[in-house]
This record gives sequence, C-alpha cells and structure tokens, in this order.
Amino acid sequence: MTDRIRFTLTLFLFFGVVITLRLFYWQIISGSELAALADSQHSSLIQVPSQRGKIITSDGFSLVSNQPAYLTYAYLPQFTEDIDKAAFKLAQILAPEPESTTASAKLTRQLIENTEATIASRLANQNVAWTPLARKITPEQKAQVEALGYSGIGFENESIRFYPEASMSAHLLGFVGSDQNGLAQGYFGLEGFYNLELRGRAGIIRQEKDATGKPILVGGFGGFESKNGRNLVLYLDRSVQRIVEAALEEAIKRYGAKSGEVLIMEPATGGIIASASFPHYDPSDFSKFDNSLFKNPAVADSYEPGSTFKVLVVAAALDEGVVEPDTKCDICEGPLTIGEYTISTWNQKYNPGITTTEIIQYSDNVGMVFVGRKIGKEKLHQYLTNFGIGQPTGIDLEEETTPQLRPWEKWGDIHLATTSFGQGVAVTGVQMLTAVSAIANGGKLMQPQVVHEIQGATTVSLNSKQVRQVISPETAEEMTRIMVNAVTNGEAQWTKIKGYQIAGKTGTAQVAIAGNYDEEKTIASFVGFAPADKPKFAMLVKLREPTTSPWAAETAAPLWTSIARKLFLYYGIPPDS
Amino acid sequence: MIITVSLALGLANIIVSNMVATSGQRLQELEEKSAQLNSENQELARIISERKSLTAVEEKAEKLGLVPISETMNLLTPEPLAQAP
Repeated sequence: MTDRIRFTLTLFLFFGVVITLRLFYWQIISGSELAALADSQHSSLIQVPSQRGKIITSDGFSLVSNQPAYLTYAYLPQFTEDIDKAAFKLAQILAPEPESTTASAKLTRQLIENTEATIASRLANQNVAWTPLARKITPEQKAQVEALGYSGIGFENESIRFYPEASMSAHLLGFVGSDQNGLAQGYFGLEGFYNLELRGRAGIIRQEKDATGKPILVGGFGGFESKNGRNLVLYLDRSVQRIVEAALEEAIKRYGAKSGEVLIMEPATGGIIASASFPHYDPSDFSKFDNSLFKNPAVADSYEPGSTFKVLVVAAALDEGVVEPDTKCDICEGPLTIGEYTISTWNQKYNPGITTTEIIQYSDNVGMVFVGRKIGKEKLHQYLTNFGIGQPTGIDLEEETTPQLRPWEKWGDIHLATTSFGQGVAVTGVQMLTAVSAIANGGKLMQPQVVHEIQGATTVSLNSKQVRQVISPETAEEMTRIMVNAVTNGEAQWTKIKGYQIAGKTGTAQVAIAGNYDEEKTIASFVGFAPADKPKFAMLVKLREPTTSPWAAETAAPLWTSIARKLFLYYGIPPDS
Repeated sequence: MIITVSLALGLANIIVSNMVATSGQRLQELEEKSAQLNSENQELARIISERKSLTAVEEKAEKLGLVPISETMNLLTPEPLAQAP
C-alpha cells in the first residue's frame, strides 16, 4: 500500500469519525432541542382563551359577565419607531385613569409621565424580544393604538369581569384576581366558592404553518378545545336586592351606624333572595379597597345575638313540652342572683307571673332564665345544635366561619342563664336567619343556598336541601303566634305594618371588647318573617353601633318593616284585613 | 391502463393538495373574523346589560316623569250579602 493510499484512508477515517461525532451530537445530545426548534419553525401553538362563566340573578340578568379587553405588547425586533416619541404617544392612550373623578390635572399628568417612563424603559430593553406595555385596555384604547400605525405593536385577547349593576351584591359575588401564575382566580363569595365551575379551561391549537406563518390545512393539527366556564343562576332577586341596598344605606346614615347587614331568605327552600352589607367595595376595582372589606360579614362575622336568640330557646322549650305559651314564670318578680352575677331586665321593670308568650313580648331576661332552667343544659344544647348553632350552615360562599358552641358539660348555671337570653353565645348572621327560617318553615331546617342552578354543557339544578326537622310543625305554629304577638304588642309595636301578620323579635346586644361589654356600643338586630301564616321571606337586619339610639326597637326594627313594606308591594301580598 | 389511472390519481392528488394548502390564508382570515365577531358580540352584550341595569332603567324612568310609589291603597272586596252573618 502506497503512502498516498494510506493517507487517503486515514483522511476518510478521520472525517468519518468527525461526521459520526457530529451526528451523535445532533441526534443524541441536542436531538430534542433541535426537534423542538424545527417544530416551532413549521408549526404554531395558539392559545384559545376561555370565557369565565356568568353570574345570573333569578330574573335572568347577568349580574356579572365579561367584557373584551386586551394586553398590548411590543415585539422589539419589529419595532422601528423612535422610542421616546412612541412612548410619549402611547402613554397618552394607555395611562391609567385617576382614582377620583375630581383628581387634579397635576395628578393626571403625573400618571401619564409615569406610564411614559415605564413604556420607554420597556421598549429600550435589549435583553428581551417581547415586552408587555399595558394590560386590560379597552377596545377604544386598542383602536387608538392601532391608529398610530406602529409596527411591532400587537394585542392579545383578555377578558375582564363586567358588573352592570356596579357594586350591587359585592360581598356575595366576591371578585376575580390572579393566582401566582397570572391566571384568573376567584376570591371570596361566589367567585371563590365556585371558581372551578366558573373559570373554564383555555384551549390549545397546534397546527403546521408555511413560511409566511399561515396555517397549512393538509398539515398536522392537534391540541384541545377551550371550554368556557359554567354560568351560575342565583336565587337572588335583583329588584329585592336593590330595595334592600337602598334602604340599608339610608338607615346607616339615619341611625349613625358603623356598618349594617340585611339578609333575606326564602324559608321553604333556604334560597338567599338578597344579601347586602355596608360598607362594601367595588369588585371591578377591588385593589383600591381595604382587605378587611372583602369578607361577607353575614357569613364571616360572628356576634352575640342578644334577644333575637330567645325565640330559639322558647321554641326548644315548647317542643320539649316543658313550657306552654301560657305557662307562668315563678321567678320573674325581680332581679335574679346567680353566684356573683345579677340578671336583670333590659328596662329594670319586672313582670311577676308573666306567661311564656309575654316573656318574648317584654323580652324579659329573667323570664328567659326561667325557660332555660325548665329545659335544662343538655336539651337546650341539643336543640341549639339542631337549629345549626355551632355548626357550619353549608352556604355556598367561600368565607363562612363557624363560632363554636360551648359543650353543655362545661356550662355553669350562669352560662345556661345567659345563653337563654342570647349572651355569651356567638352566631353568624346566616346561622341566625337559617334557624329562624326553620320556625317559618314548619320546623324544617333548610341549608342556605345562593346558587339555584349551574348552566353549562349540562345544566345542574341544585335542589333545596332539608337538613333536619328541628321542632314539630305544631311547635313552629305556636312559636310563630308568640313572635307575632311580640311584634304586635312588644316594644317595637310602633313599627308594625297595618293589616299584615309579621312574626319577629328584636335584639340589642352589647359589644364584647377584651372580655368586657362596652357600655355604649350595641349591635341592634331584628329577625322575623312574613306573612306569618304563609311566609314568603325571612329577614335579618343588623346595625352595628347605631348612635341615634342603641335599641333595636328604634333602629333595626323600623328598617326591617320599611323593607318588608316594599316587599309586600313587590310580591303583591295583600293585607289580611 | 394502470399507469394512466395512477398518473391521473397522482395529478388529482397534487391539484387538491395544492388547493387545500393555499387555503391557509383564507382560514387565517376567517379565524381573525371569528375572533373579531366574538369580541363585538361580547361588547354588544355588555352594552345591552348596561342599558338593562336597574340604575339605567331608574334614570330613564325619572326622565320620563315617573316617580316611586309613595303610598299604596288596598281595595278589599266586600263579602257577598248572602255570606254575611
């Protein structure tokens, strides 16, 4: 073999090894990376956004829907404009609006300047090819940006929540923010509780494209379709909600209260017809409000119910057969001493020998101790538990809390006494209303529900759920008569509506602060239902720290009747006589 | 014969593939149109909701001179004479 042939063979061998190594590098080491690069050159992934489900009132109106919005971005390799000039023009369009409509020109100018600086710095960033300029811009803003004719500026569809009735039912609805991945996430209320049903699922389309980026129909096609979120249909009546919100807002001003809530339920189903709380927030602009406003106080805040609780205790005693409506109190002649404590009536007036019916009528604390002792700790605890006290109601709202009911074994005599007139025990508004609704509903306790139906590819009706029969229908009827008497002849009788039978009870509870009761601050409430013989609605009204009068009979009761008067008209309920 | 049919089928395949492949632009246009119409639809739904809101209806009612009900009167039908005690 000549040297020339040997040299040629060596050369071939050398190049053979080089080519093998190179192929090894391409196929084995960088294979997946190169395959992905090739794939990205001839195929595209398109994300198809899903629409978040609507929240619809019982009259078919979308209380929460979606409106188009856009993410504006710049693709820097294609952006050829002068950065400073472009940033100036874009800022005029994309700058956020001032929070207040009366904001000064200086503040507006400041916002524009800040936006201009942000846009300029993003456009000048040489480390990225793609940069966002503004989120959730309106279709009008998009049209204005398009009119500038800048190349390299693009838009992506986004969808934001739209509230045609503004802040109506804000606490019930909750709001939509973003999770840690920037995806829409519902917080609080219905948006939080039903986030999975509402959010839907974005789709992905994978298709081959030609050199100009257009799809090739005969090429590969894959991915999965987007799935819109499901709609929620509520029990909530929009007109009732408006009546309630207007009345509550006005009452808070009139009585100088710190805050207030109204909750209305349909006793037969447990459906929430209206829920209003003030102060509230704007769910479309939630970030401008304090976090403490986000939770619905009707389900998240506990309070001492005071005298409204007496109706549950008397109902339990009647059902147990330990008292009758005309059973006379034999300890009601004066204040009662239990250990180191003295139990007195709210007005220091005593009514020797009053009946059970009159105990509720006069809201007599000593009389309630009489009733409490008749039923005893264990049975009273059992009935209260059956009424749902100390238990979660199961309402479909995210932030429900459940104050504990002390075990009866740990009750001293004073606990039995104070519990019988609603002190030393904590409830949420929805617990109290649900329990009283059971009396209105022939003794059947219903689970409170906000959503009536979930609409989607298949529609699911959420049937009303009976939790248990707490008291007999006969006891419920007797208790209703006692509550009607309390409204007709009790301290709030001046608020009664002529011709209508209303069953209700006032409650004025002191506010417990650091283990003691504040002498001046009260929570005034009224709970009841109407018409008493065939209840259409049960309603709880609660005013925190009213300043014009601490008494529920002078604040919460007139608010309750003012709303009830409008509801009788709205529902077309005629007077009895 | 077989060769002729094969050639004809091959030619037909090329023509159809070519026609379909060049429809990509049309597909893209239709997709853009669909997105635009969806967006418009959403915007129109928003406007309808806004106009049907109770606030808007109340404003319109006030402009038309309607006022809230301040007092109601119930007319009770007297019992027929024969049923009266």
